[in-house]
Amino acid sequence: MDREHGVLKKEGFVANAVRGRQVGILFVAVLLVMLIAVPWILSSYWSRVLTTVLMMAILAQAWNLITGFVGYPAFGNVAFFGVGAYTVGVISTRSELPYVLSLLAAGVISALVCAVVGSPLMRVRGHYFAIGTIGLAAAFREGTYLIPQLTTSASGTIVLPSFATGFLSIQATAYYWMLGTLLFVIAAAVFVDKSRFGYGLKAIRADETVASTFGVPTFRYKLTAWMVSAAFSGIAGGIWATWIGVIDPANSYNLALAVSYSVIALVGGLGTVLGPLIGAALIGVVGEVVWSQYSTLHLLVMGVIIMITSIALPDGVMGLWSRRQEKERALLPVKYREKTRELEGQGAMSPGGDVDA
Amino acid sequence: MTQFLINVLMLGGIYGIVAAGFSLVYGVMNILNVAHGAFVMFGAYVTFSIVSEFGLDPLLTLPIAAGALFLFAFLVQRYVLHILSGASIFMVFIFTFGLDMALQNSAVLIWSPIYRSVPSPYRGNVFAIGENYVPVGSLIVFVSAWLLAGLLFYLLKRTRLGLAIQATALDSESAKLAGVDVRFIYAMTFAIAAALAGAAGSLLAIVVPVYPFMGTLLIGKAFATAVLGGLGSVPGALIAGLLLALGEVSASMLLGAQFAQVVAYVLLVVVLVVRPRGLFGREYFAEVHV
Repeated sequence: MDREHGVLKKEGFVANAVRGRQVGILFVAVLLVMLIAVPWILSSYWSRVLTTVLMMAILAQAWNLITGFVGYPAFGNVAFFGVGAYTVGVISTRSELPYVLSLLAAGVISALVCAVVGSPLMRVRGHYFAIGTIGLAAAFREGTYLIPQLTTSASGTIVLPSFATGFLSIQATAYYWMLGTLLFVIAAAVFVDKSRFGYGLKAIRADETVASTFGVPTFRYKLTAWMVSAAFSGIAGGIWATWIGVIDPANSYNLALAVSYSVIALVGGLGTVLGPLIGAALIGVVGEVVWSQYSTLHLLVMGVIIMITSIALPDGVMGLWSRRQEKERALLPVKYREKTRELEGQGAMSPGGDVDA
Repeated sequence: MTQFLINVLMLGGIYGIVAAGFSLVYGVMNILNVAHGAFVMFGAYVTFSIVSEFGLDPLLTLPIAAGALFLFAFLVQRYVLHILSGASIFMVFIFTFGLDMALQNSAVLIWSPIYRSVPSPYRGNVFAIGENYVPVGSLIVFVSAWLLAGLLFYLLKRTRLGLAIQATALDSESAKLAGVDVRFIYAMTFAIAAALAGAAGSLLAIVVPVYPFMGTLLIGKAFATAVLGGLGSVPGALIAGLLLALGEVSASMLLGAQFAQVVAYVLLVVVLVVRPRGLFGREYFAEVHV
């Protein structure tokens, strides 16, 4: 009797999970179709807004890989965004390489730069690491001014050729490149979330010393995670460079961008796959509304919104969800006992009998 | 040569007191205050406003700028930032970023984004030491900055408040047991650091133009200086300020002015890699867990 109850309960649970997964897949498929259709239905204004949202989602998810999963606050990841932008800038003004290859080069070079400068920096943690990465971005910015060979015109500026085809406008092309890259970075995040590699990273986040004691190759793991993060930031930078057409050190290594992607990931919830995506959608839309309503107050209002969010949502939107789950889980034993009493009252269970759930 | 020395000592003094406040806040509260540069900017604007409205001597506005920032920072810490105590370092960091954005852009609204210079009686005045001419403005800034540094030292080492601040930095739980009102000390530390920043802004306004985003450049320098001296170490910050100024002034003399800006950031990354605790920081400071 009691065994039957447990089995039934389990089957119901499995059925619920399967239904939940089907709904999820359906939702993702519909969302994807809608996203693909955007340049064809929405005005170019909104398609531009959404391209920015996609770019911020890529950057926030890439940042999440190193900051959320490994716990290394790489605030200055925008350094690799700039490296990617300049890679694509230099390649597309000097050669006839297909665009995909120059984007790949942007990713590879960003990852390599990350390996070179990142391996010594990874020795420090916490605030020191955060400051170090910010210093890195600033050093790259100021350093770019000192290499005149890189640029096509004065003071570090590169003017890029357009990637518009007869079929798609610049705007739509940039949109699809961003969307494609976002799918890849989400795939990377899902992999990190579920794989052995990802568990290693989370172990490093929890306690690096203990993780290495348990055989996690901490240095290789965290550097790999950061290189992947840098590669995606670099690719996003490359697409962005061609999209806006003119890059200079100030807009490529822009710390305001670093603030944006960190805020997005934090508002959504760090260390989760969905968090940065939710954050990008929320901040993107809120930012746009604020901008269109109060264009002069825009940054002031955004600053205040950032302050309020950091106080009101310390674990992000995903934190609200996990907090509710935790509360429910904490109530499980109570619910279990209540259910048992209820069944006992009906005489359905033998007194003292236990259910294996 | 005298000009070189005066420049180094003046810049070094400014970097030193800005970074000392920044470092003090980190040491006591474990907060990296990105808005510290905006505090400097507000100090500069207080001086600018008073001097251009009432024609006061810029030096006399220094206590007003420092006092205004003191009050503002005390209230911010006591009633807003305090809510975030115990939150992750990300959140506090992001909060100060938001504060920085809000302050800079309110300055744009109040004073408009154009460069302004304070009508100063010292501008253009020089006096001769032997064969060299020394600008009076730079000399005043340099002397005042080092006087302020001395004042901070006196406060930290010789007063009850200073001892309480040091005790809180060392171990806030034990400080509480010894009867220190830790919440009050947090607010006071934040306010003292902001007052120093405001004073530094007031001094800067005498020698450089004032604009809403002047803090961004300074906060980068403050990061570099504070890390070089050892985060949390006040004497370290003052000495590192001198070293950074020495590096920048030499770089701009030997290599060209555009190299001066790179020095701070390269120095920052190198120090973090080679000696993360800086010149005078204690080792465990680098072991802050996230």
